Amino acid sequence: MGAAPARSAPPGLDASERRVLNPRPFRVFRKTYSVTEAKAGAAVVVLLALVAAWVAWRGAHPDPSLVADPATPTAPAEAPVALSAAPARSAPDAVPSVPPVAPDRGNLPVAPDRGVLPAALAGKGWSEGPLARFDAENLYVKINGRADFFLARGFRSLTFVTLSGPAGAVVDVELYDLGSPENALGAFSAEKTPEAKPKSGGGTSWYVARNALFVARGASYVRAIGSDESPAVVAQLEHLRKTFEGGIAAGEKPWTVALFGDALGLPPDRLQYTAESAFSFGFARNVSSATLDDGETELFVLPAGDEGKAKALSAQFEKGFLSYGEKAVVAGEPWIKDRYLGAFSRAKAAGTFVVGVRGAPEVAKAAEALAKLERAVLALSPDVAKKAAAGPPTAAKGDADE
Amino acid sequence: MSASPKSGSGLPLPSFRPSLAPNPDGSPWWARTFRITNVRVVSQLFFFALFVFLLSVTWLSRLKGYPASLFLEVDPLVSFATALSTHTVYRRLWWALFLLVPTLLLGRVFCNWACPYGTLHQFTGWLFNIRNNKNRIDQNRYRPLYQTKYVLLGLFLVLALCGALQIGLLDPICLLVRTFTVAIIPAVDLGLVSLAGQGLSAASNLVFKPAAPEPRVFAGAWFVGALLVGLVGANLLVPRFFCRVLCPLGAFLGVLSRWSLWRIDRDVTKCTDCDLCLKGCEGASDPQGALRKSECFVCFNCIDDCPEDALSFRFNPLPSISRLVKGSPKDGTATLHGLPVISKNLGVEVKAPDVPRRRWILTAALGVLAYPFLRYSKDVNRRGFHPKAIRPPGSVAESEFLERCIKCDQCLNVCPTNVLQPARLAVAGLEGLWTPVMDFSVGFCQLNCTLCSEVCPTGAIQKTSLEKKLGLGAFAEVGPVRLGTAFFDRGRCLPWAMETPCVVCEEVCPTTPKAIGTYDEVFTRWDGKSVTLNKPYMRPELCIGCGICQKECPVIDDAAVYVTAVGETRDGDRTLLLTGKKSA
Amino acid sequence: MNEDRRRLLKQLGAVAGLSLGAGYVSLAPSGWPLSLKDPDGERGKPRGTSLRLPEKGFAVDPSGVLPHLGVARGANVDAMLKAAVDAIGGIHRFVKTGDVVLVKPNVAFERSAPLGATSNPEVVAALVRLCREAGAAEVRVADNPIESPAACFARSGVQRAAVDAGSEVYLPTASDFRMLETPGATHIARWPFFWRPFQGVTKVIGVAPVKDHNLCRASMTTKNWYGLLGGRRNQFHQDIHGIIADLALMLRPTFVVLDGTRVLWRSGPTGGSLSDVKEGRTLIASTDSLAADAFGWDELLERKGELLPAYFEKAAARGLGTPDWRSTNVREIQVG
Repeated sequence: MGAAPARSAPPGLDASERRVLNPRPFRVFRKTYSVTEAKAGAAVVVLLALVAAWVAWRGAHPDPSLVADPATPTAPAEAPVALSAAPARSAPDAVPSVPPVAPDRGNLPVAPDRGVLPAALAGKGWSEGPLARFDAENLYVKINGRADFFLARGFRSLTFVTLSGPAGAVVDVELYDLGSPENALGAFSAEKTPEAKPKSGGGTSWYVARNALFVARGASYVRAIGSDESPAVVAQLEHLRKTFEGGIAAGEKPWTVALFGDALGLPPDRLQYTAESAFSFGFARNVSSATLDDGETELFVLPAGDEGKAKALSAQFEKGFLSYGEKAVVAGEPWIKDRYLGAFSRAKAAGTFVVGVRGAPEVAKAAEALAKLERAVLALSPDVAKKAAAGPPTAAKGDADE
Repeated sequence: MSASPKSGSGLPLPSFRPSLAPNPDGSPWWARTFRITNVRVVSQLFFFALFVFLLSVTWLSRLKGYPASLFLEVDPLVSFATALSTHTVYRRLWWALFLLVPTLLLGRVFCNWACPYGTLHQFTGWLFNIRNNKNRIDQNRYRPLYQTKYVLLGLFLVLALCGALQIGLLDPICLLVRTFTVAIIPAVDLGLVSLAGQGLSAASNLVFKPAAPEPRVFAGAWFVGALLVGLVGANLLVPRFFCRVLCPLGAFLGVLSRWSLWRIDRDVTKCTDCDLCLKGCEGASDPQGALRKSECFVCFNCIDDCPEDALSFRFNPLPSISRLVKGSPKDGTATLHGLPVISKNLGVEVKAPDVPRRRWILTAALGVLAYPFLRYSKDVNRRGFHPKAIRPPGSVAESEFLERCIKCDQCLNVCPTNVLQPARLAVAGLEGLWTPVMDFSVGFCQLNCTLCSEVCPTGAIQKTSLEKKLGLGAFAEVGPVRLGTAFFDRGRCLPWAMETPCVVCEEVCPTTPKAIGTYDEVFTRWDGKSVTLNKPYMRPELCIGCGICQKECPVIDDAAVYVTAVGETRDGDRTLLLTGKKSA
Repeated sequence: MNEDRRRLLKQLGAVAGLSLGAGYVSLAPSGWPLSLKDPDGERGKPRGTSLRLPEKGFAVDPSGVLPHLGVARGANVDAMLKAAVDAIGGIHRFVKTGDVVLVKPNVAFERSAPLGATSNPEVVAALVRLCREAGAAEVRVADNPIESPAACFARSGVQRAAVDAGSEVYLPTASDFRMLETPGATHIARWPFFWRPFQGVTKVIGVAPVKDHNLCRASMTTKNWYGLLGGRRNQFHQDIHGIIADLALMLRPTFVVLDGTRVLWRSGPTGGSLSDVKEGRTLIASTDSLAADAFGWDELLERKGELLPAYFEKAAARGLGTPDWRSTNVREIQVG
């Protein structure tokens, strides 16, 4: 582009417009205006209005997938964990809303063996789905949060199977191999709700809570949870119980069952077993306990090894109880009264064992039961005492220890 | 202006005087009020407001269905350059057609009718205009400097062809979105929130990011802010400096506008060569001579300023008139169609950008050279990725990411926790400058949030459903999206090193089952007190690298649990564990 | 000459005035007006204003007759809430015409309501309506969640439920916090407090879900006040029981509602799986949050017999409630 033709001041400018800070910044110099131009401008304004309307319309119509919540029960896939695609089952009355799909996918073991799970679990009109097994390493995949509960109770393996019945009904069966009857009974009574009315007989303890069956037999603890409370499900639960009674070895009767049963007439389903930190006391290990008929008084026994250790341990219990109570002598016996609950507790050495009472509302009854228990413990044969001191086997491999 | 401009003597009249009287030429009053330059201002205000509005709805509580990244998605340079680098057109990038078509018909209308950055520059130039009209005319003449933008465009496109997308450095939409996100919005919100704190509750309704619990911070905001001040301030030296000299989008549209059917046309039988048309010429496109189509912003100021009505916007005007002119313009005897030619300058049109061919070759050579310089810097290379270059969920593998990311930082804008930060040179090198990375000392990746993938215009963060992110439903086989893996620094962890209870990390861990477990231990402290310590450990196969543990760790300056990029699922080469290795 | 002298005098006057003024403001003792004196740098430090909540909290006068704990079981949330509140004296005992009521739900995490990590939006809505019907001039709903507030309120459903029921939702922003003094607190004697929704409030009602908690073992109505604090909350875990006891001291509510419609019985406090949640079908209204929490521990988390978390004892030692809920006056109602 060659030199600009006119470098001198353009003729259209008056003197004021040659100044800095032009006083007429909006001045335009055109002489004619065009109606066509204004019409084109109007068309542009219409276009802008259309753009605005489109934006507003889009805003009012969000993509539903953007706000969808895959975790709500109405969504098609509700499996909370990628690996375990089974529905909620932990609460006895939880109702799974979709039938579970085969859980053994991903890195779960393929074609596991049945372990101690009896064959022919499915009753008439029911069929068995694929089997999944979990060990201490991957238990949390199946039951996160609750894994520690079982790991603390000698957990060996979990066998899981889903039974499908008529009209979409489903029963999930979880069989926990806990290594010993103490642990199985312990898990059974620890998971029991207060309203449950368990029955015991022939080495089996069990109860049915609406749509769920809980069984402890031998070293196994079984939870079978139905999708509803229909007669078909209840019948299948009954079928399961019978199958378990016939199909799982009852095993040796634990010494504590005999102890509490013979001395105090307490059924095995009352028995609790805690391997570590019983009653939140770090020193209390290998504790067996049972609750009396009032539902509150808890009797406990634990082996100490020898008599000296038993005395030391019972003193530790005293100290532990004192941390939330104060001394109270009732009928010449030293008890400890809980500061908040007003309940009575005490512990004493009995031979190589420590026996005690916790949370008793009435001292007299508790003292009587404790005396019975003490006599029974003292009468135990040395063989049993040795076995008790060894305690039941612990978990194959827990992740609770470092 | 009711009187003829030339007759104005004495006191200058105010410029806007409402009057319903017809114009001196007999046309109705509204032909003056609604003349095209006024409509243009309305359009500019509209699009600027729309731009700010869309930025403000780029936020969880407001997003709904709004096309939050609209401006980025109609930007044809974004779609063209990503098509060069990826050989695909992602999601809504076909919307660029809405801009391509008007450009091919009308020229660079976008620059002066819609571009929010152009509007900002024009407004700044207008507000601080202290030039007299003669100076303005001289400032608006074309200069060879203005071909720089074509060189930059060529460089960027060659780089894109090689696989390094750098248009976002200077593309005006990317640049402005980034500037708003990183510098302007935090500053405006700071002011509004403190006003609201003083009791001015109306201010709280204007806040860009309502209910952000803490003021938003961004790495290197000072530099982005300084760049804004510098580029906008340059208008005082050269009007529309950025648009004329640097803008690669303008250059792209300029190349396209050589085929435009309409352009400004000068009637040489009326033009007196007074040069007044240059007074308001935004593009410096020489309307007083041969119009440079590639430079013209179609602002129409020249038409407003022509005292002879010699300029008009016409369909398919002749590209050359020299053969039709009879006689010689030098001695004043020339005529066109029987009318005397007054202008001494018979040029009417320059189609293509004024860039010599050898310079195009230089540009291409520069691009080919720059690619290895950029890509083989260690930080963005497959062999040397930075441990803190943790990309947002849904991001594609790093080399593809760099083919797609335009550094617009819309993802940073929408991120509710402020975890997304513009990458600094140290983390991502020059190639990855301002691309999004996660800084877990600022925020964390919220489990149920996929907003960044929703607003990403180019698919660097692929549109990711919540099911896909969490590995639910149809994605159960693939598993969740992992951003990296968390590690414990036992030397700084309170339970591990300091006999002090703390399990914040386990508490906040959002995965089910939790990726953080604890070894629980009753421990006798140095002072004899017994404490229960929950010493945390990581289950790497469950960790998704969301970083909430790092964010919430009470060791705030250098957290005792921290996430690095290893284990991210977007790239099969960066997994950590042998088991659970899945191709996404 | 005259000109020069006048100029000199003027100049001298200006110099003297300026230097005297500057000398005064920098040397005058700190009590004097306009003094800026700061010899050791202490005066220049920022002094944040702090505030205190009312001496007796927001509680109404205690009653010797009415139960402390109203427990309603059933399925209809509105009816249950009404029954539970009626059991402890009815809403008119607590909310009078013209009251400004703050309802504090637990919306700590971005989880949908069925996952049990947040207060049930239906319960929040029912509570808002109840306060409205009792004549409250204004009902506010506020919480400072762990995750981003807008997302937490939206996904939990509390936002919509609260707004639809006629309350205003306050989401925290940076300028909403003021230093709160709680005399007697062990750790949080001075701590940033989510103050904005408290301006002009006359009654405070907590509504908290029943949740397992990895550290303090159970998060219910007392732990719920955590969501009113800002600042470095991640330090609280170093003595969580002390902190919860402090929270009980800091905020004494008009009453609390323990939302046992869902129970997050494990994997707390975040949950995330439906299998962590069980139906509770219970709502508890109480003027004693420790009793309500102990009830939740025994009956909803079903941990009766396990030792209560240590914060109960710490708070009870300050006279802030009775964890032994059986010893208090309890009324249980079956609704529907």
